[in-house]
Amino acid sequence: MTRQTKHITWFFVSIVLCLLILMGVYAIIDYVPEEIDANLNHRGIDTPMKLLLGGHLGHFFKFEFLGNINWLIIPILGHALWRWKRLQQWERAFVFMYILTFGLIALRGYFNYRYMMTLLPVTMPVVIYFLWNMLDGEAKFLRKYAMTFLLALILFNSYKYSPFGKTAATGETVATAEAIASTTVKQSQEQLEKLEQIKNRTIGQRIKDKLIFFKDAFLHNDIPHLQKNNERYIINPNNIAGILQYIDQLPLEKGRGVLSNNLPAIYYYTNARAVYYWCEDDFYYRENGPNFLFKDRDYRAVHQHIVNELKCDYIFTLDLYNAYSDEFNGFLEAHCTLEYQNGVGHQLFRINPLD
Amino acid sequence: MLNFFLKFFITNLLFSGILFLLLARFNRKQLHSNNFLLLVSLGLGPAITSLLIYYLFLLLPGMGAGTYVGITAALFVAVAAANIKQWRVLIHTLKGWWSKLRNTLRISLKKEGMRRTLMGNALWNKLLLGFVMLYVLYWIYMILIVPILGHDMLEYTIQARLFAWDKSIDYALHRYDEAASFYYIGLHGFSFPLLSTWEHLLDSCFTEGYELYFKSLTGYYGLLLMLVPYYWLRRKSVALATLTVFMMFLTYGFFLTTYTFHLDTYRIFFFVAMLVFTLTAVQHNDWLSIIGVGIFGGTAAFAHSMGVILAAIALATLLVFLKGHLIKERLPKLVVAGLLLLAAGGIHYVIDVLWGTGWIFKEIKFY
Repeated sequence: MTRQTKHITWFFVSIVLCLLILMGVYAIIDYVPEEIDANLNHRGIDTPMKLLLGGHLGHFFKFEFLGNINWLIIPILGHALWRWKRLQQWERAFVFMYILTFGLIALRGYFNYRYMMTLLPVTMPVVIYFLWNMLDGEAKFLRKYAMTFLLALILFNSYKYSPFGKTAATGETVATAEAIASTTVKQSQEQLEKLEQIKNRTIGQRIKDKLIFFKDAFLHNDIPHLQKNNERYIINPNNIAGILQYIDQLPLEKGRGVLSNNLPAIYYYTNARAVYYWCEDDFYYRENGPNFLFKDRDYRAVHQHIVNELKCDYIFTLDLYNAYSDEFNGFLEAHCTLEYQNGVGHQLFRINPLD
Repeated sequence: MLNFFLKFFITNLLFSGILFLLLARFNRKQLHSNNFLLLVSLGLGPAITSLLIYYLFLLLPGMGAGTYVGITAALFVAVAAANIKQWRVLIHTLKGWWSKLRNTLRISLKKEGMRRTLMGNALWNKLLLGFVMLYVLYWIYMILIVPILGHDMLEYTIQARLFAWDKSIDYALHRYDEAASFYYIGLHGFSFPLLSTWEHLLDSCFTEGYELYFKSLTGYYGLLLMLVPYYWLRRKSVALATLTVFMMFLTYGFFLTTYTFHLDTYRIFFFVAMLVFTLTAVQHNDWLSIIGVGIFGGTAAFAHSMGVILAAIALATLLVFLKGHLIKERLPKLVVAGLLLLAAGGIHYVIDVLWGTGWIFKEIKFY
């Protein structure tokens, strides 16, 4: 066997090994258990193995967000630890700092991919650099194949977890404007017709619209989408703007407001008085800090507390969030009436009077 | 839009350039490349601006918006004047960047020949330049089209608006605004929200800016984050460096991070810069690296709670791996880095623990 053949053989063995590991990890992290905890499932840590791989070791194995090549740094770190004494001082410092940083993220940041992202601009260049460096001398000709392989892995992974890949995998199609619009509780026929008109515009008209938008933005400092009364923005059922405008026009008495379930947009886009609440923790926030809403209270007492103490007549929430708390969801069903819902699930409930 | 470009030019380019002068002053031995110093300085301008606003609100509360803008600008002008000799270094470095850019645009791929093109730098330089241009266009499109809707970003923006109204920063057990009935649940440093406050202050001097500047920070720091590894790997191979940029951008989570308005690219940039300075401190044992660890550690901490712990890790790394006698050499350097870290934003957490929310004694949830 020539040296070149040896290199090629090792290269293919490595690729096969790499693919086998990837398939194994994909099987674990994509597994959906029968009983789902909405929050943990959303974060991809709803089984012990998923918690380990996609959570604590998420920087390497949370493929959905971090890509599928970061784990290749594990053998590199192992190699560095193995020949610790032969490393330069700054290389030792790097390994030390990397492991401590990773440890911090694994312990405290495992809940959210954003924290796992902290090391990505370090890990990915190190992996790519090592692979490049490893394929030196007689194996140099393999570099372009190795880089192409890495690029292909990343592209495949990004496609797999992108909305397009997910749609293709589940066979579900993206909701059409009509389907979304049909879910809205409060949307006039006139609005739906306007939406239909917007949808049916020709490509030429759309380009013309975009050019006018940029001309306004650049020359007149006129950013239409940020204006509260921008009609096109409000009537789109995918946007939050419609429901926020509706809240802004609610006939609320002075001093009365809306209980907002983890949706701070109400403070930013409306003038309504709002009390901030997060159903998962069951905390509402006032000047004395966080307070429980449902703890030690039955629905009747909760109702009285919201209406009399917090002085709220409405609840602004998102259907996805409601699933985080059975009590909160139950209260909405038992004591509230859905008054407005948009296509992405933002809901405004009116609190019914007590019987 | 002109308003946005003006704010961007002043804060991200002009102020950053002035801060480069300061770093270049400590680079007398030329242990660090000026290109690298300029690259990391480009991230420092906004962070130091927010730090100045923080100190001004803390020490001189309740003054007019113009006063804060004026004092901030005056301080930067003073730094620029005090480092007048370093302007030559800045101009020389910028000329180098301009000439590289011009060469990239000039080189004809046809003349290079197909084989040389694939192996050589011309194609990769052009690819990177094309990518950066598309990225910038897409970034401007995003800040114009997409409103602020994310939970955390809204929290920062609302709190920033309150800072701009009050023109002061008060520490209290609970950060609650009665008038807005808004409770700020964040426990991180104020660096990022204060940049939105800075925008409001400038807006009150000029015209409404629709928070385009604040929204632009995510994409801006995303680009810097890709350029830092590019800079280091370029020494090895331009193709390798360019491919790394592409691979980073094509990673779905990183792509999301660059276009979803949030502080992540901002905080991660300071962490990466701090990491690089920690390693160069170990390698060269020089004062500029120590200053770099202090400043970037402080800005990383002021951006996010996690940055405080990461800065502590950087100091621990220095303690273990710096060369020299522990008391005579390592300790003074650690003290300098630690003091700079406090001054560059770490102080917020000391005040917050003693007179504010209690920070570390509260349960910090990393959602």
